[in-house]
Amino acid sequence: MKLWDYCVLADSDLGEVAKIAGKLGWDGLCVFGGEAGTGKAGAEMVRGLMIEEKNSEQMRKKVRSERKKFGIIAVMGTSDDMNRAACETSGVDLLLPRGGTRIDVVMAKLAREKNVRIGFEFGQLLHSTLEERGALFSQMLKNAKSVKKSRAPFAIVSGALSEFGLRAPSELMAFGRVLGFDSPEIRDAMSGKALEENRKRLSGRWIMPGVEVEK
Amino acid sequence: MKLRRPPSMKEKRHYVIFRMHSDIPVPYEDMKGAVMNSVLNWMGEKGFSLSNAKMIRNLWDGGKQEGWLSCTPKSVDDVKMSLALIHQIGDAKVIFQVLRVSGTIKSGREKAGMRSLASAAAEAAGKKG
Repeated sequence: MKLWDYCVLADSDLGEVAKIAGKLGWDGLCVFGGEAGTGKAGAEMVRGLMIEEKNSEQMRKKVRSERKKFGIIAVMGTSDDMNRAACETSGVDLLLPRGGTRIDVVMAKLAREKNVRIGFEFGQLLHSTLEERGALFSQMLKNAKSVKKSRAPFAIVSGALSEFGLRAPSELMAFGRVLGFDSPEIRDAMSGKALEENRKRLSGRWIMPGVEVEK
Repeated sequence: MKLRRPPSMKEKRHYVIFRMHSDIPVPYEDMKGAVMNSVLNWMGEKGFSLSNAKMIRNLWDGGKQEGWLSCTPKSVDDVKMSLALIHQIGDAKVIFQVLRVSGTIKSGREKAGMRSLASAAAEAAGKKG
Protein backbone atom coordinates (compact mmCIF):
# COMPACT_ATOMS: atom_id res chain seq x y z
CA MET A 1 0.00 0.00 0.00
CA LYS A 2 1.25 3.48 -0.86
CA LEU A 3 1.59 5.95 1.98
CA TRP A 4 0.63 9.59 1.48
CA ASP A 5 1.07 12.64 3.65
CA TYR A 6 -1.93 14.81 2.74
CA CYS A 7 -0.71 18.10 4.14
CA VAL A 8 2.72 19.61 3.63
CA LEU A 9 2.65 23.38 3.93
CA ALA A 10 6.25 23.97 2.85
CA ASP A 11 6.53 26.38 -0.06
CA SER A 12 10.29 26.55 -0.58
CA ASP A 13 12.83 24.02 -1.81
CA LEU A 14 10.31 21.33 -2.65
CA GLY A 15 13.05 19.19 -4.20
CA GLU A 16 14.67 18.83 -0.77
CA VAL A 17 11.27 18.14 0.82
CA ALA A 18 10.61 15.34 -1.72
CA LYS A 19 14.08 13.88 -1.17
CA ILE A 20 13.75 13.74 2.62
CA ALA A 21 10.16 12.44 2.38
CA GLY A 22 11.44 9.60 0.17
CA LYS A 23 14.14 8.81 2.73
CA LEU A 24 11.56 8.72 5.51
CA GLY A 25 9.39 6.24 3.59
CA TRP A 26 6.64 8.34 2.02
CA ASP A 27 5.38 7.46 -1.45
CA GLY A 28 3.64 10.76 -1.98
CA LEU A 29 2.99 14.21 -0.57
CA CYS A 30 0.23 16.71 -1.08
CA VAL A 31 1.81 20.16 -1.17
CA PHE A 32 0.01 23.42 -0.55
CA GLY A 33 2.00 26.24 -2.12
CA GLY A 34 4.90 26.11 -4.55
CA GLU A 35 5.11 24.15 -7.76
CA ALA A 36 4.53 20.43 -7.34
CA GLY A 37 5.55 17.58 -9.57
CA THR A 38 7.43 14.34 -9.39
CA GLY A 39 10.96 15.07 -8.26
CA LYS A 40 14.02 13.31 -9.65
CA ALA A 41 14.33 11.36 -6.44
CA GLY A 42 12.00 10.93 -3.54
CA ALA A 43 8.27 11.11 -3.08
CA GLU A 44 5.67 11.99 -5.67
CA MET A 45 4.00 15.36 -5.18
CA VAL A 46 0.45 16.52 -5.83
CA ARG A 47 -0.61 20.12 -5.72
CA GLY A 48 -3.41 21.08 -3.38
CA LEU A 49 -5.34 24.22 -2.51
CA MET A 50 -5.62 25.50 1.04
CA ILE A 51 -8.66 27.70 1.62
CA GLU A 52 -8.31 30.15 4.50
CA GLU A 53 -11.50 32.19 4.15
CA LYS A 54 -13.32 33.56 7.18
CA ASN A 55 -16.69 33.62 5.45
CA SER A 56 -18.25 30.20 4.82
CA GLU A 57 -20.14 31.37 1.69
CA GLN A 58 -16.88 32.56 0.10
CA MET A 59 -15.28 29.25 1.02
CA ARG A 60 -18.05 27.33 -0.78
CA LYS A 61 -17.72 29.55 -3.87
CA LYS A 62 -13.99 28.96 -3.97
CA VAL A 63 -14.43 25.20 -3.60
CA ARG A 64 -16.90 25.13 -6.51
CA SER A 65 -14.69 27.22 -8.80
CA GLU A 66 -11.37 25.50 -8.03
CA ARG A 67 -12.54 21.90 -7.59
CA LYS A 68 -11.36 20.60 -10.95
CA LYS A 69 -7.96 22.31 -10.86
CA PHE A 70 -6.40 20.71 -7.76
CA GLY A 71 -5.75 17.19 -6.50
CA ILE A 72 -6.77 18.02 -2.94
CA ILE A 73 -8.82 20.88 -1.54
CA ALA A 74 -8.28 21.58 2.14
CA VAL A 75 -10.04 24.06 4.40
CA MET A 76 -8.42 25.68 7.40
CA GLY A 77 -10.95 25.37 10.22
CA THR A 78 -10.25 28.63 12.06
CA SER A 79 -13.60 28.63 13.89
CA ASP A 80 -16.34 26.18 14.84
CA ASP A 81 -18.66 27.73 12.22
CA MET A 82 -16.05 27.23 9.50
CA ASN A 83 -15.60 23.61 10.60
CA ARG A 84 -19.32 23.05 10.31
CA ALA A 85 -19.51 24.72 6.88
CA ALA A 86 -16.57 22.64 5.61
CA CYS A 87 -18.19 19.42 6.85
CA GLU A 88 -21.35 20.34 4.90
CA THR A 89 -19.49 20.99 1.61
CA SER A 90 -19.02 17.91 -0.53
CA GLY A 91 -16.14 19.30 -2.64
CA VAL A 92 -13.85 19.62 0.37
CA ASP A 93 -11.35 16.77 0.78
CA LEU A 94 -9.66 17.73 4.01
CA LEU A 95 -10.64 19.85 6.98
CA LEU A 96 -7.87 20.97 9.31
CA PRO A 97 -9.29 22.21 12.61
CA ARG A 98 -6.92 24.91 13.87
CA GLY A 99 -6.28 26.57 17.23
CA GLY A 100 -8.14 23.98 19.26
CA THR A 101 -11.46 24.36 17.38
CA ARG A 102 -13.94 21.61 17.94
CA ILE A 103 -15.48 18.82 15.84
CA ASP A 104 -18.58 17.41 17.46
CA VAL A 105 -20.47 14.23 16.59
CA VAL A 106 -23.01 16.11 14.40
CA MET A 107 -20.21 17.64 12.32
CA ALA A 108 -18.42 14.30 12.09
CA LYS A 109 -21.60 12.62 10.81
CA LEU A 110 -21.99 15.34 8.18
CA ALA A 111 -18.34 14.85 7.22
CA ARG A 112 -18.97 11.14 6.75
CA GLU A 113 -21.97 11.84 4.49
CA LYS A 114 -20.05 14.36 2.39
CA ASN A 115 -16.77 12.38 2.47
CA VAL A 116 -14.76 15.17 4.08
CA ARG A 117 -11.66 13.92 5.88
CA ILE A 118 -11.01 15.40 9.32
CA GLY A 119 -7.30 16.12 9.58
CA PHE A 120 -5.15 15.67 12.68
CA GLU A 121 -2.06 17.77 12.21
CA PHE A 122 1.16 16.73 13.94
CA GLY A 123 2.85 20.04 13.05
CA GLN A 124 0.51 21.92 15.38
CA LEU A 125 1.91 19.98 18.34
CA LEU A 126 5.46 20.23 17.06
CA HIS A 127 5.50 24.02 16.79
CA SER A 128 3.60 24.79 20.00
CA THR A 129 4.91 25.58 23.46
CA LEU A 130 4.46 23.08 26.28
CA GLU A 131 1.44 24.92 27.69
CA GLU A 132 -0.26 25.20 24.31
CA ARG A 133 0.52 21.57 23.48
CA GLY A 134 -1.53 20.27 26.41
CA ALA A 135 -4.63 22.23 25.40
CA LEU A 136 -4.23 21.39 21.70
CA PHE A 137 -3.78 17.68 22.34
CA SER A 138 -6.73 17.64 24.71
CA GLN A 139 -8.98 19.11 21.97
CA MET A 140 -7.51 16.68 19.42
CA LEU A 141 -8.46 13.76 21.69
CA LYS A 142 -12.04 15.06 21.92
CA ASN A 143 -12.21 15.50 18.14
CA ALA A 144 -10.80 12.01 17.61
CA LYS A 145 -13.46 10.59 19.92
CA SER A 146 -16.22 12.23 17.86
CA VAL A 147 -14.65 11.03 14.60
CA LYS A 148 -14.34 7.50 15.89
CA LYS A 149 -17.87 7.43 17.24
CA SER A 150 -19.42 8.56 13.95
CA ARG A 151 -16.96 6.60 11.77
CA ALA A 152 -16.07 9.70 9.78
CA PRO A 153 -13.07 9.59 7.43
CA PHE A 154 -9.94 11.13 8.84
CA ALA A 155 -6.32 11.82 7.93
CA ILE A 156 -3.18 11.93 10.03
CA VAL A 157 -0.94 14.58 8.47
CA SER A 158 2.40 16.15 9.27
CA GLY A 159 1.55 19.76 8.38
CA ALA A 160 5.25 20.35 7.77
CA LEU A 161 6.41 23.92 7.18
CA SER A 162 9.80 22.77 5.89
CA GLU A 163 11.68 19.53 5.26
CA PHE A 164 12.53 19.36 8.98
CA GLY A 165 8.84 19.32 9.87
CA LEU A 166 8.31 16.04 8.04
CA ARG A 167 7.93 12.89 10.11
CA ALA A 168 8.14 9.23 9.07
CA PRO A 169 4.93 7.20 8.58
CA SER A 170 5.64 5.08 11.66
CA GLU A 171 5.74 8.19 13.87
CA LEU A 172 2.46 9.49 12.46
CA MET A 173 0.97 6.03 13.01
CA ALA A 174 2.08 6.23 16.63
CA PHE A 175 0.43 9.67 16.82
CA GLY A 176 -2.79 8.14 15.48
CA ARG A 177 -2.67 5.30 18.01
CA VAL A 178 -2.08 7.78 20.83
CA LEU A 179 -5.22 9.60 19.60
CA GLY A 180 -7.13 6.33 19.98
CA PHE A 181 -7.42 5.02 16.41
CA ASP A 182 -6.63 1.43 15.40
CA SER A 183 -3.67 0.58 13.18
CA PRO A 184 -5.73 -0.61 10.13
CA GLU A 185 -7.83 2.58 10.28
CA ILE A 186 -4.69 4.71 10.37
CA ARG A 187 -3.09 2.83 7.48
CA ASP A 188 -6.29 3.34 5.53
CA ALA A 189 -6.23 7.06 6.41
CA MET A 190 -2.69 7.39 5.03
CA SER A 191 -3.34 5.47 1.82
CA GLY A 192 -3.88 7.41 -1.41
CA LYS A 193 -7.63 6.66 -1.52
CA ALA A 194 -8.68 10.31 -1.35
CA LEU A 195 -6.55 11.07 -4.39
CA GLU A 196 -7.96 8.25 -6.54
CA GLU A 197 -11.42 9.85 -6.73
CA ASN A 198 -9.88 13.27 -7.38
CA ARG A 199 -7.67 11.94 -10.16
CA LYS A 200 -10.82 10.69 -11.86
CA ARG A 201 -12.29 14.19 -11.45
CA LEU A 202 -9.22 15.77 -13.01
CA SER A 203 -9.35 13.35 -15.96
CA GLY A 204 -12.38 15.15 -17.44
CA ARG A 205 -14.55 12.02 -17.69
CA TRP A 206 -15.97 12.41 -14.21
CA ILE A 207 -19.57 13.65 -13.83
CA MET A 208 -20.39 12.92 -10.19
CA PRO A 209 -19.45 10.23 -7.62
CA GLY A 210 -20.15 6.89 -9.30
CA VAL A 211 -20.91 8.40 -12.73
CA GLU A 212 -18.21 8.59 -15.42
CA VAL A 213 -18.16 8.94 -19.20
CA GLU A 214 -16.77 5.82 -20.88
CA LYS A 215 -15.02 6.32 -24.22
CA MET B 1 21.59 -21.24 47.37
CA LYS B 2 21.10 -17.87 45.77
CA LEU B 3 17.45 -16.95 45.24
CA ARG B 4 16.73 -15.69 41.74
CA ARG B 5 13.66 -14.24 40.16
CA PRO B 6 12.18 -16.66 37.59
CA PRO B 7 12.44 -15.42 34.00
CA SER B 8 8.64 -15.06 33.84
CA MET B 9 8.85 -12.31 36.46
CA LYS B 10 11.32 -10.27 34.45
CA GLU B 11 9.99 -6.98 33.16
CA LYS B 12 9.50 -7.16 29.40
CA ARG B 13 11.34 -4.66 27.22
CA HIS B 14 11.05 -3.41 23.71
CA TYR B 15 13.90 -1.79 21.83
CA VAL B 16 13.24 1.22 19.62
CA ILE B 17 15.91 1.62 16.94
CA PHE B 18 16.04 5.14 15.55
CA ARG B 19 18.01 7.23 13.11
CA MET B 20 18.58 10.94 13.51
CA HIS B 21 18.63 13.06 10.35
CA SER B 22 20.35 16.38 11.01
CA ASP B 23 22.08 19.15 9.10
CA ILE B 24 25.14 18.91 11.41
CA PRO B 25 26.31 15.87 13.47
CA VAL B 26 25.03 15.86 17.06
CA PRO B 27 27.08 14.36 19.92
CA TYR B 28 25.62 11.50 21.97
CA GLU B 29 25.27 13.47 25.21
CA ASP B 30 23.25 16.26 23.57
CA MET B 31 21.05 13.75 21.77
CA LYS B 32 20.42 11.77 24.95
CA GLY B 33 19.55 14.92 26.91
CA ALA B 34 17.08 16.05 24.24
CA VAL B 35 15.42 12.61 23.99
CA MET B 36 15.04 12.14 27.73
CA ASN B 37 13.76 15.70 28.15
CA SER B 38 11.19 15.14 25.41
CA VAL B 39 10.04 11.83 26.91
CA LEU B 40 9.70 13.54 30.30
CA ASN B 41 7.74 16.46 28.81
CA TRP B 42 5.38 14.24 26.83
CA MET B 43 4.75 11.47 29.34
CA GLY B 44 5.20 13.32 32.61
CA GLU B 45 7.25 12.09 35.55
CA LYS B 46 4.91 9.19 36.33
CA GLY B 47 4.70 8.03 32.71
CA PHE B 48 8.46 8.35 32.35
CA SER B 49 9.09 6.16 35.39
CA LEU B 50 6.50 3.59 34.30
CA SER B 51 7.91 3.47 30.76
CA ASN B 52 11.40 2.69 32.10
CA ALA B 53 12.89 4.46 29.06
CA LYS B 54 16.65 4.07 28.81
CA MET B 55 19.15 5.00 26.12
CA ILE B 56 21.69 2.26 25.34
CA ARG B 57 25.11 3.89 25.15
CA ASN B 58 27.01 0.93 23.66
CA LEU B 59 24.74 0.69 20.63
CA TRP B 60 25.00 4.36 19.57
CA ASP B 61 26.51 4.68 16.10
CA GLY B 62 27.91 8.19 15.79
CA GLY B 63 28.69 7.85 12.09
CA LYS B 64 25.22 6.79 11.01
CA GLN B 65 23.60 8.71 13.90
CA GLU B 66 21.63 5.62 14.89
CA GLY B 67 20.69 4.71 18.42
CA TRP B 68 18.67 2.33 20.58
CA LEU B 69 16.17 3.13 23.29
CA SER B 70 14.62 0.52 25.54
CA CYS B 71 11.18 0.88 27.11
CA THR B 72 8.19 -1.19 28.20
CA PRO B 73 5.99 -2.60 25.39
CA LYS B 74 3.00 -0.49 26.48
CA SER B 75 4.86 2.78 26.16
CA VAL B 76 6.35 2.27 22.67
CA ASP B 77 3.86 4.61 20.96
CA ASP B 78 4.41 7.35 23.52
CA VAL B 79 8.17 7.01 23.17
CA LYS B 80 7.82 7.26 19.38
CA MET B 81 5.70 10.40 19.83
CA SER B 82 8.33 11.87 22.16
CA LEU B 83 11.04 11.24 19.55
CA ALA B 84 8.90 12.80 16.83
CA LEU B 85 8.36 15.92 18.93
CA ILE B 86 12.06 16.80 18.86
CA HIS B 87 12.85 19.20 16.04
CA GLN B 88 15.96 20.96 17.27
CA ILE B 89 19.00 20.04 19.38
CA GLY B 90 21.17 23.07 20.07
CA ASP B 91 21.61 24.73 16.68
CA ALA B 92 20.98 21.55 14.69
CA LYS B 93 17.60 20.90 13.12
CA VAL B 94 16.78 17.22 13.44
CA ILE B 95 14.28 14.58 12.36
CA PHE B 96 14.03 11.35 14.34
CA GLN B 97 13.02 8.33 12.29
CA VAL B 98 12.13 5.07 14.00
CA LEU B 99 13.64 2.22 11.96
CA ARG B 100 12.36 -0.80 13.88
CA VAL B 101 10.89 -1.89 17.18
CA SER B 102 12.10 -5.26 18.42
CA GLY B 103 11.82 -7.50 21.44
CA THR B 104 15.49 -8.41 21.67
CA ILE B 105 18.75 -6.76 20.65
CA LYS B 106 19.64 -9.74 18.46
CA SER B 107 16.43 -9.68 16.44
CA GLY B 108 16.59 -5.89 16.27
CA ARG B 109 20.01 -6.02 14.63
CA GLU B 110 18.79 -8.61 12.15
CA LYS B 111 15.62 -6.68 11.31
CA ALA B 112 17.45 -3.39 10.91
CA GLY B 113 19.98 -5.02 8.58
CA MET B 114 22.89 -4.52 10.96
CA ARG B 115 25.73 -6.95 11.55
CA SER B 116 25.18 -9.43 14.37
CA LEU B 117 27.12 -8.87 17.57
CA ALA B 118 29.02 -12.15 17.02
CA SER B 119 30.22 -11.17 13.53
CA ALA B 120 31.17 -7.67 14.76
CA ALA B 121 33.19 -9.24 17.61
CA ALA B 122 34.84 -11.71 15.21
CA GLU B 123 35.78 -8.87 12.86
CA ALA B 124 37.22 -6.85 15.75
CA ALA B 125 39.23 -9.91 16.87
CA GLY B 126 40.49 -10.39 13.29
CA LYS B 127 41.69 -6.79 13.13
CA LYS B 128 43.57 -7.17 16.41
CA GLY B 129 45.16 -10.42 15.23
